[in-house]
Amino acid sequence: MSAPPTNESAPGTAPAPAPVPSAKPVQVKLVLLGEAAVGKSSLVLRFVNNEFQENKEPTIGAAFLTQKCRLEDKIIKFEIWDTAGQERFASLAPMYYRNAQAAVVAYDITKQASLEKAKSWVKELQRQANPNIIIALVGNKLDLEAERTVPTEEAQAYASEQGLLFTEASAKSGEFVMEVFTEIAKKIPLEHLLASRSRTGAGPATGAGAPGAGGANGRVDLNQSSGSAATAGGCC
Amino acid sequence: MADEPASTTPSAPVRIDSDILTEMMASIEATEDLSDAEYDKYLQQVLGDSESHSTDADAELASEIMPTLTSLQVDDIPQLNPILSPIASSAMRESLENPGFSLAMLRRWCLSLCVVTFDLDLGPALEYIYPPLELSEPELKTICFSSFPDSNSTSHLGDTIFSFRFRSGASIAKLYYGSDTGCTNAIDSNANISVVDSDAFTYAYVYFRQKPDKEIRRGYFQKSVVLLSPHPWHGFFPILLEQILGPRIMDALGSEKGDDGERGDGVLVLARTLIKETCIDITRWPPPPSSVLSKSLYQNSALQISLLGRQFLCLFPPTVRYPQLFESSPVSLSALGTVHQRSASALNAVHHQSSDSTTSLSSSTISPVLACPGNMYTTFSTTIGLMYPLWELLILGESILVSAETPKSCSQVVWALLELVKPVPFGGDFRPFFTLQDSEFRTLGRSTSVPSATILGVTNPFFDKLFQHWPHKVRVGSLNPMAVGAPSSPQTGKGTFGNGGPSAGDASLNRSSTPMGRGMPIIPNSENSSPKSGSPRQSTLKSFMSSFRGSNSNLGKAASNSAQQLVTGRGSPIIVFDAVVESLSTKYKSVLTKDKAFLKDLADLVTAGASMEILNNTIRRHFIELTDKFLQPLNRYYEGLIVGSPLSMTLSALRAKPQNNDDEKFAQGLPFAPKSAPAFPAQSRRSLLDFYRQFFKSANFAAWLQHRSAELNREWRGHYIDVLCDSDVQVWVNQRGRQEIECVDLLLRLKDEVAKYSQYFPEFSDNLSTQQTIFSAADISSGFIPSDEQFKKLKKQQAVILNLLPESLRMMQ
Repeated sequence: MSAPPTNESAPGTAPAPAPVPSAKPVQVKLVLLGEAAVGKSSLVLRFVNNEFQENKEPTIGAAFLTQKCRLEDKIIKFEIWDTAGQERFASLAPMYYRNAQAAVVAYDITKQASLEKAKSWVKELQRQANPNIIIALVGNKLDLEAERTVPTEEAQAYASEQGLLFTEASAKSGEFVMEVFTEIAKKIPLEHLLASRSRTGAGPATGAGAPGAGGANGRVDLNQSSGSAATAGGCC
Repeated sequence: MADEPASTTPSAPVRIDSDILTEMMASIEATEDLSDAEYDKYLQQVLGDSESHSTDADAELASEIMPTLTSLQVDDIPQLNPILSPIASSAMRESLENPGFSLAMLRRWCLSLCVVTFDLDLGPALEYIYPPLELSEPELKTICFSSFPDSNSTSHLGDTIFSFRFRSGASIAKLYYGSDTGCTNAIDSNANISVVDSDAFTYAYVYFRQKPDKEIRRGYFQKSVVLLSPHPWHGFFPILLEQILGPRIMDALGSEKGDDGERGDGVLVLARTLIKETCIDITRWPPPPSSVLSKSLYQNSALQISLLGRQFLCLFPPTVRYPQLFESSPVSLSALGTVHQRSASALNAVHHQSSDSTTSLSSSTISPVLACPGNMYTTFSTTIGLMYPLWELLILGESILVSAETPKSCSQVVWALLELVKPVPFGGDFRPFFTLQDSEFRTLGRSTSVPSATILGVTNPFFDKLFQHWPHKVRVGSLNPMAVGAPSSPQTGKGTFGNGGPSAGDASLNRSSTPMGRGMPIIPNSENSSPKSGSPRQSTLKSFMSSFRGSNSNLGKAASNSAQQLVTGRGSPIIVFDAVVESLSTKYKSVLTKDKAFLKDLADLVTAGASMEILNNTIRRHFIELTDKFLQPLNRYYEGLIVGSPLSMTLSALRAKPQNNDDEKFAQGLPFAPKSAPAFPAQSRRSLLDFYRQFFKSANFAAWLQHRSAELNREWRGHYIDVLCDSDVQVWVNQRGRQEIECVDLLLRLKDEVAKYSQYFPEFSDNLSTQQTIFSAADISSGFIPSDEQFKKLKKQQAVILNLLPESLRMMQ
């Protein structure tokens, strides 16, 4: 069932075997979006349990999972909302990506249409999600190289243009799955998250992000930010 | 009839320009720092709540749903209902040609049976519904989404059963409380079925199957069979689904191949036939037991019913506030002795139609199915002490959030909570399984306020965060967490879950209102250092086990042992009640203390190896007693306001209704009702008068009063009819000093009654009984329907008195 794990983590990070005693984990809310059957749940399963199920059942509703990682001296706790890809769930996606610090938008490298769907998710996130959200575009099913229909260059070009993280990966073989999350972790303004959390003393509902807006009132000016959609991703 | 093309041809799906939507969304600009009010506004807009957007959202939903169904359409088949596939409408025609089928007879019991599938491209989709039912878009959406788990689908492998409840839309409401335009689909003129004790809600009982199937794209079979009914019989319908309907229909669905050669694609002939047969069987059942037909308001009625060749003996409560107890041992039907006479004649009446499989149950011994069982023991097996604060919260009609891992366990616990306070009827709203996609999410899902008197059962961890402001939260676990609906793996070693005994509740009753347990996305779990802590289920289990580790395990062991008995002790598995209340988080300060003597007795029973039925009944009796004691001062006061007694009624002093039954006056007088605190079987910490005062303000009090008055009316009316039927009219008329006017009055009364009910006894030939009849809403609300025998007597009395009247007066009649 499970492919041999190729758990090659990027330097500096690894799933935390034991937390550094003093460090409080930084919670990072991450949402997975993408067309049905591109392998969203499989990517999460690989990341969280390092396993792969050949026949993963279609996700109904949404699944919630967590995974802790260590990045240098910090512990990051990913809170992952794995959503169902079917059209009828799309209307509730805002509930899940609200307040998310990161999003993984997945497509299937063997299905051109799934990239188009991914682009529309990216667009939606850029317009409506937390303006500082880190978006990673992930082309899954790299193990199916022979059936590829989406050229790497095409997706890469789109990602650079939009300021997204980009990689191709395989939940089946495990290739580059860790890297997706590692790269996201590196881009998250961890210091700020920690600081804002201790400042407000509140739970994650109010704690995250918005470093640009910062300041005393902590509110984002609705009028001001609506136009600057395309610059999301490269915050700080 | 059914061939008539319906005027409700669906309008062309409206395509919403996605840019409009996104612009709208962009203008909201979701941000981190929305205040609660802003967030509510945001939710409203996202969910299409505001006037201007609701039509867009509805149209959007319509446009999502239409393509699947319209793509199936064949041109020459008229559309009965926009949501139906043509297959369904042709099936409808077939059965209407069957003289044995009456839609109204079916709908006394249930509305329709549906198959909901998880469409790989769209998501949940209604695949088949029979008989056709006009459903609004919000209803349709709720049914589709609530028929599947809301989150973490991996934990739902196998078959599972749960239930949900939604507000009936206009057309369902019309069916049951109808107007003369009644049945808009023109299928059956006999619309307006009245159902006693029903509310404005529809109950859905779901059998969900998720299993690998290599012949289906993506390798999984994911479908639900859903039975819609106006009745809150959370024990009865699930048993039918579990024992016969669910597996039979699912097996049929999973064995047939569609046109494209894919399995599980569409609802094909085998499954359709089964669903149709089910419906025909249901039309042959006797009328659903109800207080208007029941001789006694305080007794179960037993019905023997047949479904797809299986016989069931079922016990129904006379009203929704009546608590049912388990039969502690199998009984023979004759021993019960209370089988409704109408049902017996009903069975005879249909015997010629289904003589093949109808075997009498009277000689065999079986365990009757309870319509509203109270599985108190399992539910509280690890947290016995929590029953007291929960009883108080429920009596007061407080809003409670019930979060669980699976739809099955949250719906089981929500029902169990309602059972806990009977005979006080819960007067608020309750949703055994509520999802993020529910069309009423926008009204119930506010992030700032808590809806009053509402019990919500949820599984999506998203709610834990959204509803963290709810005052009372119950966390539900499972005795048997890994085997969801898979009775083949009864737990043996899990008895260690059990907690030690009576005082366990204190540990779990967390007054600091901290959300407890796992599966909470937001609560850092500091002691949980495992990198593999991902699955909420795993961590739940761990914390659950650790919180009870080392304590005496008797209670839990008995629970799981008995659950096992239930599984293995019969030919086929029965529903395993394995949901357990793990914790309660509240700031509420209990008034009552636990009854230590009772808890000790209970522990003794457990140690002695008492059966699950006995344990459930013991707990139940204890809380019925508690509730009765609580109600005693109110009952005494209420009865004190009534003038006279129905028992003393005679022909000379007839009164169809109690006098001075003034609810308003009662409500006004009430604050002074309990002058002294009644003797509870538990001690109170604080003044009970405050507790009563709170109760008077609650929805439960209103509901109780309403029930009480309705029962009183029924009782009076029953005596009234009895007196009319059973008095010796001849003797009465000939009594000295009898005024003519009195005789005429009696005659008019008899005439009234005969006229009122004659529609139900059409030809009054002996082989026709009320079982063929649909009662009108008006007569149901008057609270009483005479039996065949009583109706005959009324007619006879009418003739007798008519003969005794002088010629001149007879002419006037």
